Amino acid sequence: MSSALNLAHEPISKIPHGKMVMWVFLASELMFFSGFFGAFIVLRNSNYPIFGHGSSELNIPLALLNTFLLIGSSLTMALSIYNLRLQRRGNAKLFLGLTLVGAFGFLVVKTIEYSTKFEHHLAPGQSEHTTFFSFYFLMTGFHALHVICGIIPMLYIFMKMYSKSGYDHPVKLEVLGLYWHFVDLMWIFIFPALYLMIPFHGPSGH
Amino acid sequence: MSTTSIEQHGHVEHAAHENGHDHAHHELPWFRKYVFSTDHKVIAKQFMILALTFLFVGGAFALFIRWQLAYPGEPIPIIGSILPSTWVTQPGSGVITPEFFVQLLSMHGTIMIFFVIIPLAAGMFGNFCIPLMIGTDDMALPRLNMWSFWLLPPAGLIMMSGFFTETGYAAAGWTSYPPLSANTSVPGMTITGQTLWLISLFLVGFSSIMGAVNYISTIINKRAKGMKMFDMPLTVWALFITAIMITLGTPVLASGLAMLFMDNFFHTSFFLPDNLVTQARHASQYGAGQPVLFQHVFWFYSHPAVYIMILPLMGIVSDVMATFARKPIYGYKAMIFAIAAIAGLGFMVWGHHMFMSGMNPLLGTTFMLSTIVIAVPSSIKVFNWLGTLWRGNIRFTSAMLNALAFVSMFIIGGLSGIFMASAPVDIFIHDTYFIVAHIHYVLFGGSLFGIFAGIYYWFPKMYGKMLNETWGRRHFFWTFLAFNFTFFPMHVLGVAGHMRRVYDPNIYDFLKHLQGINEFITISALVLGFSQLILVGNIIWSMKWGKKAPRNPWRANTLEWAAPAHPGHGNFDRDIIVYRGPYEFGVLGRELDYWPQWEPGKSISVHHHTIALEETPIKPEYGSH
Amino acid sequence: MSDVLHILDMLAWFPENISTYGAELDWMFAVIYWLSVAIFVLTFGIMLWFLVKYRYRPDRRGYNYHGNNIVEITWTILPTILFVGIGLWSDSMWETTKYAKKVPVADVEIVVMGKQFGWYFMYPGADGKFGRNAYNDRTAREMMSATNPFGRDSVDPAGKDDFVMENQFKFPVNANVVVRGSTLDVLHSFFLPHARVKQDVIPGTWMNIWFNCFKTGKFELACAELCGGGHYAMRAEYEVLSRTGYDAWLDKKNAEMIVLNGQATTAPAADAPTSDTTSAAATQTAAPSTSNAAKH
Ligand code: HEA
Ligand code: HEA
Ligand code: CUA
Ligand SMILES: [Cu+2]
Repeated sequence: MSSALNLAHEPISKIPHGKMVMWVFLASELMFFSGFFGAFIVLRNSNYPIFGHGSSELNIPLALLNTFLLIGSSLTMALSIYNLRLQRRGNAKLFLGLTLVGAFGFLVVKTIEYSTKFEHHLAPGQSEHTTFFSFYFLMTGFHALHVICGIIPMLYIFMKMYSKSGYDHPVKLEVLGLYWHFVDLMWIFIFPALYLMIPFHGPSGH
Repeated sequence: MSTTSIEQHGHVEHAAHENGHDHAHHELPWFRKYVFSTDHKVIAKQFMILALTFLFVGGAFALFIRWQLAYPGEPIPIIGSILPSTWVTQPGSGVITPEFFVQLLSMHGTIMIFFVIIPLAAGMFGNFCIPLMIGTDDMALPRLNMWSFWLLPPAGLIMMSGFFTETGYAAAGWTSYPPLSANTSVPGMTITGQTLWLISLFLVGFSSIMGAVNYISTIINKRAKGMKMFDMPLTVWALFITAIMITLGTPVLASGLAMLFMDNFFHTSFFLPDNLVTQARHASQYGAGQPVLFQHVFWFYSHPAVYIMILPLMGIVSDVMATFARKPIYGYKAMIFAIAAIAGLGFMVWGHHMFMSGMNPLLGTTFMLSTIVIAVPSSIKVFNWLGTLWRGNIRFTSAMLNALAFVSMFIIGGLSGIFMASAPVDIFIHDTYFIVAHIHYVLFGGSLFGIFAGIYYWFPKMYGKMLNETWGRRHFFWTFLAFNFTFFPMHVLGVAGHMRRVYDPNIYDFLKHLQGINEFITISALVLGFSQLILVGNIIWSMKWGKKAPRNPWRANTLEWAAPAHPGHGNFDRDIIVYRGPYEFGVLGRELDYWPQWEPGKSISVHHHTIALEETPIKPEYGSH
Repeated sequence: MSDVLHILDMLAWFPENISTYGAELDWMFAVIYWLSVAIFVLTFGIMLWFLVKYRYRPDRRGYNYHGNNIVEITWTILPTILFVGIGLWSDSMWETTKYAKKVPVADVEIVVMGKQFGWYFMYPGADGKFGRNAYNDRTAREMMSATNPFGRDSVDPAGKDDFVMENQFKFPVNANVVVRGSTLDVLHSFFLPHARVKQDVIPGTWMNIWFNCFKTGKFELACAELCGGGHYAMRAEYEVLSRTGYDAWLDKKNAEMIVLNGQATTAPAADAPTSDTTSAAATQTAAPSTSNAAKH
């Protein structure tokens, strides 16, 4: 009934509610990860050998592949939104599909990485585990969790696109896109922090 | 005073009440209307009921604590005999064990902060006030809002189910510092009360974030026509800034909880150094963690959290005081800047909880200075409240009484904060009952009194009934008296060196002489506890048999009073256009001493006075006053 | 209950101060206390006055006035000055008590180890210097265990005469006592109420704590950081002895140590009674034992 009144006017900031909420939420997410990074920096700087040894055990090529997968999926996501806005249903569908491929590919590569870590007894509770790998599993783990949380709505929308009614809420897809770009961005931070910035590679107490 | 307005607008009231209801005549099934409702008002009520229930649980725990401290080794009266055998020294002895005592105080602190004050301050008032006071129909994303509530009950259940683990509830204080909270003495992958505590708080944090992002977007996007940011009531401002603090602070706590959870459950070593000597040592030789790191992460959230727990009430108290002093807020803008300053500085002072933690004393110096500076905006607020009372026409409703109690108790609590803010002074009083006194003066004397004020003030709009004034006054009287008798002596305990979180002070010779005070505190605490039943009784009674409330029982200016006496879904039955700020009381050139925001009319401002230009016809059919 | 009557003069409740900087700390507390009393009386008094003066009158009307910037600024500046004053004053004191560079040369150096739920105190013994242990050599942490809390190296000759006391320690009057504190398991806090000393001790790092007591006698030490069910009972006693008394006591200890080292009896420190009997011998036994067993 309120719709009859002037109460439900369009957003004052001209930014749709969903989008606004997502922006604010992403600020929150940023703080969440910066908590991890803060701890990481503190402990890394006081334990170079351990962290150096740890990160030297990581598989950089695989991580690089993952980086490309994620950046690519971010691009296709953007394209999908763009096409949906222009009512080009077919293309939107295609690009969202590619985004999903990228996302799943990322997870597959992650599983491979993890399994090798388990084989080398680097997982928490295993013999070779060090604080570095605590961070490795923490950060990549939570990041992977975010990827999964992105995939679910993506799949849903993808299905919708195949249903006869089709799907045309470019704004909603845009909101999801925002989230997806954030997940991508986080990886862009995590990747160098864990894999590339290998501190002085000294004896690790083995 | 409400009576007068009843006589005046009783006739209007019915109409209002009717069309107030028919909004709610949707074809919603009952569980969508009352359980999984997306109506912000229903969600607010849900928050209130949940939190008040937990207030009693946490309070009951506190009374157990008090009994042990006053009469160590003596069986607890009635309840003692029926306590589970794991809680008492010998079955049937009725004397609780030290372990259980620690569990009690940890749960007491946790419940009171995360399941009472935050749900009430941010959850209940945030939901109820924001949409109504900015004149809109609901939150930006009502469904998200619903989930932000429905994360809490499961969180509460998880927390309380620590009872069923063999180690019992979490037992590391509400601050739960590792290594103690990292279960170093149990084998890996065991679920203990502490593990559940971590999971539960993670959910609570997520719930408050979901709420906060919603508040922010609602306030930015959905303000009524003509309402500029600086036309918003201080309550909304306070909630807005609080929401920002939540969105930026809570996730950091979440990250800390995540790391602690991994230490606790998967036995990693973020916070554990090498070679710990415990029953089941797990921190490997390479464990390079630092216990103090957790304290930094924890307090980075938890100090802002204490302001998250007070700022909304500061806003509410300001509104209540303006309404019942019939006066504009003194220095409205100054108040807003003070709130913002507190919020901003609040993120730079966390270290004052860690003066003794062994962090670099250099940091101690910086944190001491920043902490002392943060008292300035608080001072500004206090002085402005006094300025608001000055030359008012003050009515002592129970809402007003609680608001005044808030101010005076917050002054005491804040001043005790200054002691601790001075690091060298803190050396002696850190982790003594002086801190406990501070906690309760700010959290009970501050936040909780503010919450009471808010409940008394908005109950008419929540349930369309007036709360019973005489019982409200009685509740206030007993609470205020017993509160001070309970918590003021704790300062003395602290000065005498009485450590907090101790099961039995009497094993220390230098504390033996404090027994009398401890007994006195406990007796007052019982009175305090049971006087809360008055409030609950009053609420329940008034819901059913209370006087019907008019639209605007307090003759206030803010938009929620433009809504029907008992607004249904959609809140308003009229268009809302805002013409002026929220605090135009006693405007010159008007015969009424208040001027609602939604009423048309021109005015000019001369030397901080507002002067109405021409008296505007009022539309009685809305009974807006 | 009679105590309840004079809870208002708070300063009277401090435990007797026995340390050199304690007096100034108490003085600082007192100043802030009287300041707060003044501020409270002022603010609360004004409030009551307004409440009475401007209570409801049907003929009265709230004064429409939105505030005055000059006033705002003044009551922003004044507290600021006051607070910054307090802050700067506090800082000087803070530096003397806690800054590492302000720790004086030690007349007596004691290494303290907290555990659930008790305290160990290690003295350097006759030769006046510690043998290899977890304090002066980080790698020795490997040897830390319930029976060898300080991770002492049994082969280091310098360590032979170091002796350990449990839940009590002694030091001379008017001497700079420097305590190096850490713990075996969780956080504890080294709290000497009468000496106005408090410092959390953390596993994995060492805290420098110093004090200088001008009064002899027996006093209590408490743990001030929640450390589990036994937290409340983590109590120890310390005795401030006259110079001569302390030297006599040291000689006694050293004599005992020679005897102990002679016939290397072994009784685990943990079992040692909480009396004056040394538990040094015990700490000799534990080689790199449990610490390595746990991992790999
Ligand atoms: C609502 C919650 C709340 C609020 C508002 C505050 C407000 C303040 N708190 Fe408090 N605090 C807690 C909740 C809160 N605190 C809790 C729960 C703990 C314990 C945590 C634990 O379990 O360990 C704690 C602990 C705590 C500590 C750590 C003590 C210790 O563990 O050793 C410190 C130290 O600096 C501190 C300081 C302050 C200060 C300076 C303020 C300031 O904001 C106060 C400012 C207000 C005033 C100063 C009074 C009003 C001003 C005037 C009347 C103007 C005139 C005054 C002057 C000119 C002086 N608090
Ligand atoms: C808003 C927060 C809040 C509130 C309202 C309270 C309310 C009370 N608190 Fe507490 N308290 C904290 C927050 C709060 N507390 C925190 C954060 C800590 C620190 C915890 C830690 O150290 O980790 C703490 C710690 C704390 C301690 C220190 C424990 C210790 O360190 O050893 C004590 C001891 O006296 C105490 C007492 C009380 C009492 C008597 C009340 C009273 O106001 C309670 C009044 C009672 C009720 C409102 C309910 C009444 C219930 C009934 C009438 C039912 C009766 C039924 C039975 C008795 C079975 N609290
Ligand atoms: Cu050790 Cu408390
Ligand atoms: Cu704080």
